[in-house]
Formats: sequence, structure tokens, C-alpha cells
Amino acid sequence: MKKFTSCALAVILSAAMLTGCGAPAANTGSSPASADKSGTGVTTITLWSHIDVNWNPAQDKMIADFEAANPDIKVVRESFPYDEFESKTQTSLLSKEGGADVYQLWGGWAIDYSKTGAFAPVPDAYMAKVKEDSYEPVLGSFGYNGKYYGVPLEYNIEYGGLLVNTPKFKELGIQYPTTWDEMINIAKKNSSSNGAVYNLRGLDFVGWDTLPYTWLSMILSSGGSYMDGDKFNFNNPTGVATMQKLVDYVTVDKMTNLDGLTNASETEPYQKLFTSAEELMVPRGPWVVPEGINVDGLKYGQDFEYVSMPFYGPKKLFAAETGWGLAVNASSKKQEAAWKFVEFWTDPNRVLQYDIACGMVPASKTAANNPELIKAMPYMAPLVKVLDGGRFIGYFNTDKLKENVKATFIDIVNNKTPVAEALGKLDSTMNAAK
Amino acid sequence: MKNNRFVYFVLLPIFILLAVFFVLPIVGGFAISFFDYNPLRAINHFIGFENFGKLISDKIFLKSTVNTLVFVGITVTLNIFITLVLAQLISMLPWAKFRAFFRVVFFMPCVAPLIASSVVWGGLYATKYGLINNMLKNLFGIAPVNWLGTASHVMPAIIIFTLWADIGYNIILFSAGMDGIPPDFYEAAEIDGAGMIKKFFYITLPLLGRTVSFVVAMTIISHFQMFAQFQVLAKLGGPENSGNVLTYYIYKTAFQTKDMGYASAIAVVLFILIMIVTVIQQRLNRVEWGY
Repeated sequence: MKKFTSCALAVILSAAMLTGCGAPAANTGSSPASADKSGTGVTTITLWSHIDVNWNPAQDKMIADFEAANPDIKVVRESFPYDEFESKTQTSLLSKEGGADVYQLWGGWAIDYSKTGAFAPVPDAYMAKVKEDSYEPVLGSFGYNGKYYGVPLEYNIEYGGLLVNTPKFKELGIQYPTTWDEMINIAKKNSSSNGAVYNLRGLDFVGWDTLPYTWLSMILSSGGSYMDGDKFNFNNPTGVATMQKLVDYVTVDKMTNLDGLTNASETEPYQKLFTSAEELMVPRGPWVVPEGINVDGLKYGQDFEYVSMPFYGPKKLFAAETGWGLAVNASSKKQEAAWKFVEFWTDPNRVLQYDIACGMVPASKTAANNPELIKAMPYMAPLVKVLDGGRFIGYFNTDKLKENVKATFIDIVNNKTPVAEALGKLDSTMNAAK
Repeated sequence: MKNNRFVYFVLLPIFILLAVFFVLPIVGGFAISFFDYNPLRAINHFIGFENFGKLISDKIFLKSTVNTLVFVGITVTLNIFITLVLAQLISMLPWAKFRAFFRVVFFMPCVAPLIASSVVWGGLYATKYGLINNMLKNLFGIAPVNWLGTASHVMPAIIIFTLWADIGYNIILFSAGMDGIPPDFYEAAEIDGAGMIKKFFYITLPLLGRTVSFVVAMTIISHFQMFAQFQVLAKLGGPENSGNVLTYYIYKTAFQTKDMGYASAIAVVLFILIMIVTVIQQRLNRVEWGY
């Protein structure tokens, strides 16, 4: 009896394991490799995006509008936590049987994926229309070898706007800055700290995105550059001078410290501005504004505002990487329906509504210059004026750049490494990584 | 003969499971380390030992190796010491219900997911409003410490958290071992006039030898592989990579830099490191004692 039971258990376990290891079950809802089997003439495609309290409802509305206009196509949205989204996208693209038909794709990731053939090239006729109506930086990362593998939804701008603590400005009796020197003087005069504890950070530019973008804009607006052909060249007089300024803002003027880069127990500077009285001014992209209103329940104009960030030099130039867009899985058997959905979404009038709901700057010039944008988001006004000053940051993995700029800045601040020496190392590291 | 065939047949499913989910991935990872590997590419080039060669000049790899060895060395040593002492103290409690109560209390942090505990402790370590700084200020008048933002404080902070999260499991194992020691030895020792400390060193520890050996090996292996608390508490590797350990570096290299070949090479090094340390530890702790 014992032997029989053991044998039976062994057989059941083997069967269960082999079933699990076998071919995936047909799933018409989310597998791009399976054709519609419902027999009703409705094609179902899947959209993958990351979880976002503002973006997901806007995506659902877009889906509903698309389905109303195209009753023969159904779209299923699946969203994942942001921290897992990239690795899930990568893993799903490996399996030609699983994954989505349409992906929400970050421009920086497109640089790695475009070379591998994981995404389908955008049809030429559609791409020609997109290119004609798009700002320069929004397309950069989606292009590879003469083709494009994604369509932009937004103009990712991390320079140009400044989050300000309205009640604090009122309390201090000062106006919002309109020039770089005014901004620095306000920050210097009002920052206060006691050892490791900051009572007020005047200008908190130390962050994963804000530090490199602030620095690159300082270089470009001074008439300098950080690339020499396709090689990095930060160690030049403009690069050194501007980096020294930023270091002095931390070490000499004590406007902030390195917590934004190093301290895991601290929230991001813009989140601290929303939830505490510790921040006076924080440079950040406009997408934070809906977060302050919808997530933290703040009142725009009363609890905070978003104003123009002055430029360091005479030229109104800044670097921008390609932001969020849409891409179609090259393994999808429903590419026609997928492209139809993408084209529907990126129509300038429709994408404007999406961008308004998500607090994004439109990638489309038509949408960005539509008065409805400023009517719905008055805080976009300072940004819309400078969009033409955006320059594509470069065709490289921006995470590597941000990682190395972060390490360089910490090295200079903590170890007092001379700026030129540190930037020389930065150039070597970045050029070796290319 | 018939019995052997039956045994093999019954064990076959678990062997297949181990082969598919443990052995093959290890072999696969080892193989990938010889390629410039991107899983989305149709063709990945064989580059021989180039990935391993890169390791020698990679300062971040060297730093994360040192961090890993420091973390494992200090945390395991403190873990074993603390858990032995606590297990002994608990076993000395007169009532069984008291002993059970304390074992449960110490074990509870082990039940919570490590990542969730890490997030909570991130709040405790906050510079301005963190509970730890508030307690230090109110009880001892110590100025707030930037626990997770200062290079020299990050590793001690993570070690303290790891000890809190992990000692419960070893306390249970040591308690079980101590409960298995026949009381006759202690009675005989008492007759000879041995005190508490002598009893612990001359009876408890030697007779707990096999348990200690097992616990130390398991603790070392698990601590080499710890990742969650480093990802949460050491933001982007921590200030000056002070919280960057091999597991975090592997994750970053594979999924952020997308250099899976190089990440696999680092993983191979970690595998070899764990094996060397475990073999040395097993040799040193060879136990002949029985009772």
C-alpha cells in the first residue's frame, strides 16, 4: 500500500511538473502570438504600462474612445509597479509567445531594444507625419539605422520649471526669481541647517535627474558643449566652471546636501516640498504638478506653484532625453490593429487630452501650441515658451550618464577631488562605456 | 535491486525539478559569462574571458566585493554570538510558556517580508523625524545622525537591521539543539560545582557542535545572497557605493546596464566566493562530538 501510494504520488508530481513546463495555454486576451479565436470578428490587443494614479485612468479613457471608434478591436490594459516594469518588459520580449502587443516604452530603453529587433519599425508614412510635427529631442532614442521603433507621447523635460513653496515665499515676503542670480541669492539667504538636519533647503537640485540636467543646461546655455563628435568631453573650461558652481552651492552656500542622491530614508526633494516645510525651490519636470494635486491633495496656487526656471547663461538651451512613447512588439501577430491603436492615440488632438490628464508636455508641436493646453494647465506656460531650446541629450544609455555624474559629484563634494580631475575621470568612464 | 529501482523512480520528479530549476540555471549563468550577452539579440558574441578580465579593473566590483565580505563577516559573527546567548537565556527560563513566548517574539521579524521590513526601517533611520534619531536625542542628547546618507554609517545601519530581521530563525535552531542535550550532563556538572558560564562553554557549546556548524554554514550562504535591504536602504548603492554589495551590483548590471554577460561573470565570482568560504568553514568546524 505504501509503495503504491508513493508511486502514485511520484506519477502525479511528474505529470504536474511536465504540464507546467509545457507549451503555454492559449490566451486570446494577452498573448500577441495567438490570433483571435472568439469567432466574433473582434481582435483583442494588449497594452502594457506601469501603474500610475494619473496615467492609468487617462489610458483607460483613450482605450474606451478607441474601442468606440473601432468596435472590431478590443484593448486590454495590464499595468505593473514601476520598479518592475522594465524588467518585466525585457523578460516578456524574450518570449515570443508572451508579452503585450503595445508597450508603453521609455525612450532610454529604446536605445537597447531597437538594436535587437524586439520592436516593430514604425510604418514610414505614419512616421513621416510624426517627424514633421515633433520637437527634436522626443524622437532621438527611438531611431536606429534609419528607422524608428517607437512613437513619442511626451516631451520629457526635466529643466525649465521650478517647483516653489508658495506659503514659504509669502512668509519670507519675497517674489519668485526671474533670473539665475536672483534664484541663487534667494536660496543662499534662506537655506538653514543644523548639522545633518536641514530646516530649509533653498534650492534642492541634488537628485538623480535634476543634477545632470541642471548641469547640462548650465553648460549649453553658456555656449559650451559636453560632446566632441560622439565622444564625451565634460572636462573643458565651461564644464569645469559650471560643475564648480554646483559643488559650491552645496559645500559653501549649503543650499542642500547630498541626501537627494544618497539617502534612502529621505523622500525625493519634490515630495518633501509637497509634504513638509523643508524645501523652498526644487527644479523638476511638470509631471510632478498633478501628483501634488491628485496624490497629496494640495491646492495649486496656494500650497505650491510651478514657475520658470531661469537659465544660467545667455542661451535658453537645455538637454532632454526622449521620454515615454509607444512601441509595437515585433512578435505580435496583430500589428495592424496595434498600429491603428497607436496612431489613434498619437493624433495631436487626442494626445493633447492624454498629456493634459497626465501632466505631460506634448511631443507634438501642434498639441503643445494648442491654447487648450495652457487653459487646462496654466503652469505649462513657462515651459511651452522654451521647448524649441531643447537639444537631444545624445544616443547613449542616460542611466549610465546619471550614475556617473552622481558618483562624480559625490566624489568632489565628499573627497574634495579637484573638479578637472574628476571630470577627466568622468570622460574616461563614459567613453569606455560607449 | 527492485527496491533501488523503486527509490530512483520515486525520487525522479524531485531530481528533474532540481536539474531544471537549480542546476541548469547555474550552468546557463556560467555559460553566459563568456558572451557579450543581451537576451533580446538574435546573435550574442563569444568573448571568452573578457568579462572576467574586466572585473580586475572594475573599482565598483572590487568595492562591492569588500563590502560583501565585511557585511557577511561582521553580521554572521554577531548573529551567531547573539543567537547563542539569547537561546541560552531563553532555555534557562523556568516555564515552558515563557520560553515559547520569547521564541515567538524573536521569530516574528523573520516572518515579515524582508523588503517590507526594510522600507519600515528606512523610515526609522530618517535623519529629521526618524524614531532612532529621536530616541538618541531624547535619551542621550545625541545630535541627529544621517544614517543612510553618510558613507561610514550605511553598512552599520544595514547590519543592525539584518540582525533584527534574522536572529529569530537561528534562535529557534539553537533552542531546539539545546533542548536535545540530555539534562544528566548539567546535573553532573552542578555536582562538580560548575557555574552557568562553565556549563555553557564545557557542555552546551561542544554538544551543540553539529547544530552550530549547520547554522553557521546556512547563515553565511544566506547572507552572501542578501539583496532586499541593500536595494531599499542603500539608495543607488549608497553614498560612495558604501552599501553596494555583489548581489545589488549583479542586479544593476543585468537589468539597468543590461550587460547580462558581465553580470553573469560577477555571479560566477560570487558563487566561487561562497563555495570557498563554506568549504573553509566546514573544514574548521568538523565536529566529532556525539552523545
